[in-house]
Amino acid sequence: MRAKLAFAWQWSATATLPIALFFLYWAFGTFQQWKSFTVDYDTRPAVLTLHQAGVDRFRNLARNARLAISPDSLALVPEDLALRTVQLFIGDRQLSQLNNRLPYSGYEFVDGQLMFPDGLHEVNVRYRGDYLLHWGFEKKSFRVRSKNKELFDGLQTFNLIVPKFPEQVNNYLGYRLANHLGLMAPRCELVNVMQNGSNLGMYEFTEQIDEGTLRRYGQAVGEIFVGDLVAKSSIKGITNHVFELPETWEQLVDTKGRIPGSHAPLDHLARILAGSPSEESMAQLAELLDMDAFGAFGAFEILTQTHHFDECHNWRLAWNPWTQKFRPIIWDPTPWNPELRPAEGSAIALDLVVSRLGIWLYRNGDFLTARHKSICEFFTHGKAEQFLHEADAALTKASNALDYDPNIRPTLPADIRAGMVSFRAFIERTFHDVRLAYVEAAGTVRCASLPDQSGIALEVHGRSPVEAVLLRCNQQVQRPTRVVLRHLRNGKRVETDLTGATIAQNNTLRIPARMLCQLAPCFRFIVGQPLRQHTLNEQPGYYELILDDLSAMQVVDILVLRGNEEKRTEACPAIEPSDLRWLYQSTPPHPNRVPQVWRGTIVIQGVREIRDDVVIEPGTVIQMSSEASLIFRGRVDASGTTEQPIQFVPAIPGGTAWGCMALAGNGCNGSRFRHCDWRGGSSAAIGLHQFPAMFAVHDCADAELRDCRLLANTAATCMVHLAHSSVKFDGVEWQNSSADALHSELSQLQLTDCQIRGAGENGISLNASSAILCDSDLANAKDTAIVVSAGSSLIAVRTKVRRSNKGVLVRDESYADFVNCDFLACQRPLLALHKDWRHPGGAQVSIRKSLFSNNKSLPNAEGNSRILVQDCTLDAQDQPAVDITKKRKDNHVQFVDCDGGRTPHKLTPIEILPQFDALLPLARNIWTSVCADVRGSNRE
Amino acid sequence: MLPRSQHLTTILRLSLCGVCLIAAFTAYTFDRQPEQIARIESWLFRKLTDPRQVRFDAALAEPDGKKAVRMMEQWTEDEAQCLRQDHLADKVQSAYQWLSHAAESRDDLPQATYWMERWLEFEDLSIIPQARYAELLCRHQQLRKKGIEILQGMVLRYPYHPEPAINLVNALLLENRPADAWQVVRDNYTAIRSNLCTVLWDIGDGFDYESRRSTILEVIENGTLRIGFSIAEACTGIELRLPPFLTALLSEPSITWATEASSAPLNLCDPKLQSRTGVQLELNEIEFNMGRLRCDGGSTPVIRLKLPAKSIPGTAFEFRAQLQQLPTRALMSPLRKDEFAELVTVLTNRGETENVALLRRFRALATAEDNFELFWHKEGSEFGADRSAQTPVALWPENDKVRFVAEFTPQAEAADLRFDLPGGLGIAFTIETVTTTVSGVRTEVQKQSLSILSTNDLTFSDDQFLVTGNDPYIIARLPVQVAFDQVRIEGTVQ
Repeated sequence: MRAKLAFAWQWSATATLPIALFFLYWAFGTFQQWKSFTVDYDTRPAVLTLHQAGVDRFRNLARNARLAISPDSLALVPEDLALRTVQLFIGDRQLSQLNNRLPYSGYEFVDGQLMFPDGLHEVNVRYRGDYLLHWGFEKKSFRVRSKNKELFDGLQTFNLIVPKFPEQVNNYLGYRLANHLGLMAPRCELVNVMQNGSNLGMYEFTEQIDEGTLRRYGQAVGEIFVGDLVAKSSIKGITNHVFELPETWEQLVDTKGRIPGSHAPLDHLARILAGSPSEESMAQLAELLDMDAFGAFGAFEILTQTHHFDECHNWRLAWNPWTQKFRPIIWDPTPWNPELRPAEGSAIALDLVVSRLGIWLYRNGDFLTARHKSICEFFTHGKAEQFLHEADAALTKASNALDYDPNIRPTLPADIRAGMVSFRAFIERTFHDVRLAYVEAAGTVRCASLPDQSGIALEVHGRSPVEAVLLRCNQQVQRPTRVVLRHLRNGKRVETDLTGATIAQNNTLRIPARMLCQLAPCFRFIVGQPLRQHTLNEQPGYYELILDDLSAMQVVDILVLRGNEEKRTEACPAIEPSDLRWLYQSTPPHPNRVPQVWRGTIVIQGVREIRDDVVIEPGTVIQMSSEASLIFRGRVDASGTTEQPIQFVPAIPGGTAWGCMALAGNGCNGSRFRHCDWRGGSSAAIGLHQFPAMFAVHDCADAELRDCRLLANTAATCMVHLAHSSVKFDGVEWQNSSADALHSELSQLQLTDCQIRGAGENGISLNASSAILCDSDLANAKDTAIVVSAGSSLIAVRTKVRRSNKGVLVRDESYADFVNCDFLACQRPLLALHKDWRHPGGAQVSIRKSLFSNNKSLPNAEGNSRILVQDCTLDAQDQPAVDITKKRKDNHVQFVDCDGGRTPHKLTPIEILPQFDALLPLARNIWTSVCADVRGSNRE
Repeated sequence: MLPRSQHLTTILRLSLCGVCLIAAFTAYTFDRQPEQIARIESWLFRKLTDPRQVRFDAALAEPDGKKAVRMMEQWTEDEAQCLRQDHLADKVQSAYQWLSHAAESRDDLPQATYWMERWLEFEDLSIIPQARYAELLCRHQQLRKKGIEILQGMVLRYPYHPEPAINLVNALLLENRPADAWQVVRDNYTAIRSNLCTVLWDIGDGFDYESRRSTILEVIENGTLRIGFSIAEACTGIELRLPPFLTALLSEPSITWATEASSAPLNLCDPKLQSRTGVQLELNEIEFNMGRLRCDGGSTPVIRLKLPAKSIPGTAFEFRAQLQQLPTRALMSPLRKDEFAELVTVLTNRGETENVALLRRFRALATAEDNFELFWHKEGSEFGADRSAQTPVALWPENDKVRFVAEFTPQAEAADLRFDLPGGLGIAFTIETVTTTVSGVRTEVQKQSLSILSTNDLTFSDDQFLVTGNDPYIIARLPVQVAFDQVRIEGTVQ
């Protein structure tokens, strides 16, 4: 026994030494971590106790040891169930620099490297995040910014974010849900991150929002405002309520020489929100916000039960300068947060009012209707099921990755598994309850005759909006001369005219009376959730529908259209009138639209904004005084004739320039201009709106200009500016524009038989737009006749590009196809290149059955751009330097079948290229006239 | 050597065993007795932080000023590692503030500025040090421009906060730029302000910001403020936190809620509110002002009500008042200066009618805000400080003038009265009534029966006294010598 004890004593160090070393290592690390984040740094609201630090550290060390000796690795996960890996390299010196005094030291960028598909590239790396989770443990959240404007996965800056909750996939799935609802959200992907070759674990690879996000969603690069006044960015001594402090919002878009006062839209929004709700202020709000997007945002909040868009942080609002509207961008939603879930058995939140904007929106009929529509579409279009499938796939992949994650949080795998199960169940429960409340339980509508028999009293119950009232009569009905929906506000009657959109069909009268119940604030205590204590109680909405000649109609049945279904109302003897205190903009007005008629000579002074429809008679002369502008908000029908054109001219011939004539907003949809002339305008900035042209069309569909002329504008602005619009130009002539003749952003346009002469800069400039150009002639552009950029696409048929410095410039992921076109006498007839670093790709151009003649150089495609010149004539007899056999090596232009003089090589029909599928509906008509047996535009 | 090495080995083995025993004990405690770990943690926390705090407190408590400064300076140097979001950050900031004040009290402006700079380096996202630093800079003629720039930036970012605006107005006046100073006052008055009220409700266990709390918009319709909400629980008290930095007069403030007995509105300014209704009222950063409530830019204006009985669950509450927005007193006060009297003339000449009207109104408000002073004497005696009384006034701002009421309770016998009016070049006073109360009987002294003996720094025309100097007063003789309890003067300021 003694010998055994002696032996054990002699060899005891083999056991005690590792234990002691492990213990000391653990104890030192635990103490350091606890001291840093509990004694020194104030990590509230998160708290790191000594016990938690010790236990977590022990589990982490044990897990690392087990993974180190395990023969399994990430490589064993089947490819379809595995996550992508991001490889990051940070030197020891840089790491110690980051870790020197956390979290402060972590916010300074250090040099690092990132594995791109083509090898290692230099990047800047730092830690990110406001709270302990992001930098308090082994696994830290990173922000990575590429150097030299290189794009990794299309992004210059991105985040690798430590998942917040046991289920690990909250934000990722939140962003996916946002996409299903049509909301803008950063790109997010679950990835494994290797740091210096070692697996750090699973992360959320998340785009850092910038103007690239706007481009990705087809939005104008206006401005992104960031409202975050929390943690390290909170300001001491003030409320930190972002909607009261517009100047504290950051701006993300990199605008060179930002315009002073570019906070103006946000300031306007803040001023509305700082006032009191009223019909007027609610209308202003509805004009400033893209209500469809905010409706989807409201649906997102409910479906994810998030309260993270509060009074102090997480606001990302994109401002579109052309539509003049804000759209929300989802950022850090922490959806289905386990710490804020209602207890099992208690109700989920059917409305989430956690910010001032929320309070306003929940009293706005436009918002409530848009939100309801978004929720219904989510459930009825199969998106819910699709999303749940995605959730299952994400959980499976995450689960596989976490098996090899050395730094999981929570540190017990069982907690993660349990978290995932309850997470999945909670999503399903939320969807079930929301569907029940919003889609299935529509509510009732009661009706009664008004005591004076002048109309019908209606009382709306339930969250589903009533879209229209249907009156069934026992005889054929005529549209009444007056239809009005009334409600009570502070005891006074408020009327909305619906006459204009009321439809009589056989024995049914359809009245577009949108009616909602109202949602009254009720404070309800919910344990541990102070932000959710502002709940809303449904209260019936009381309305009165007043119709002339109601008694003569002999109404036999009153129905309402609700959720695309006709529902019978409940008749009752009388309904007690009640105030509509908590709801504004219940129904949009639909008055009879009686257009203004303009004739003779009209002098415009200052800024004139016209909301009515306008008919301008032939021969009308609109004299624009100096700096006067004309903004149409309704439909314009300006039909001049050859003999009697309509003219928009300076009031004093040769006087100072007038401002702008604009079609602004979708009220102008379908506007027509025939035989109209514009001369001597410049541009205008009116309120928040910028109109950078003599004639601007913003946010307007289906406009048409036929046989019009735009002549000599002044100041260095465009002649015509399009944004978010679709416009047809037929037989339109542009002459001597001071800058671009036609500039288009995010629009669709069609030009037929048009002439653009003497553009001061570019003839046509397309930015993220698509265009069809046919039988047109562009000549003498000082810079470029046609610019196709930023993901635009152009099909040109039988069009001449002549005598310009540059004929056509296609760049930055844009496509252009020229068929039967002429490129004549240009310094540089055709260029394809990559210029904007935010568009990683170059341009693709095809020229078919066309003619190049008298140009000073060959078509040129640089970098990753390509030009295919197929079956074209390259007539260079008077310019011997233009010789296709001598093209530069770095010129990626390809000539195919370009020999044989002016005779086409092949006579097979020409197809529209697949990349122009989006233009197919527009292109189909003109394509019938494309000739395979001709090179160039000449038909003789 | 051998025994010695054996001895060392034994010690090493024993040490390792000791460490293992500690490890085992630690593991056991962590696993089985987390409460012990919590105890150790709080002990350790105190051990590591208390000495630092004790030294700070000792410096504060040191009676010898010079020594206290040395101690505080040493403390800040020792805590140089502390950064803005650390636990001790508040103490460090207090130390910088204390040191700056101490230097200022020694008239050592450069040192005061230095400590403010240190504070700002430490915490650049705090209103007070920024505003105060800029204010100190503005006191140096050479640095004033920089100070003004800082304050202008702050006013732009935090438009409704009074502190930067007040400092900027004063700095601009030092630069003799009253027009710019007036613009600052106007901008502050029209700035975006909070309209968010916070409601806390008590179900019998006290108000708790972290649990029963919600927010609601104030709604102002035609000058009437309405704050309405329901509370799902039965509650015994309501705390209504009005919007932070609210500067307004709330007339006829009332609260309504339905009880089984009634749902009539309760006037919160009723002096007998508690005895009549059992409702207990407490105010914070709100003052009573002649039957109205006045908020003057406090960060947490609170109305707290203890209800006489528990409300019914789901009860709807509504707070109502007539609201009249005012600028903060501190921002209005400089408007009484002579420069603004000249500015009135300049703006009038420029034809800026609206601007002039607003400036005149604010000047009248600022003037009427000041204390009125009453002196009296009997026949054969002189006016003196021992026979005087001061009183704050109540205001009723109207569109083009401010109505005021000043009540004095001298309880003395007097034949002559001297009203010392607040100064303000160009301000016009109208005295409409003087009411005396003698043995509880109120007597209105008609204007015409008051004989004006003399005036100082005032001219009288069109029934108005126009201030022409810095010490305006009126001496008036009462019809008869009386012993009165109260004198009440009503009039207008323009």
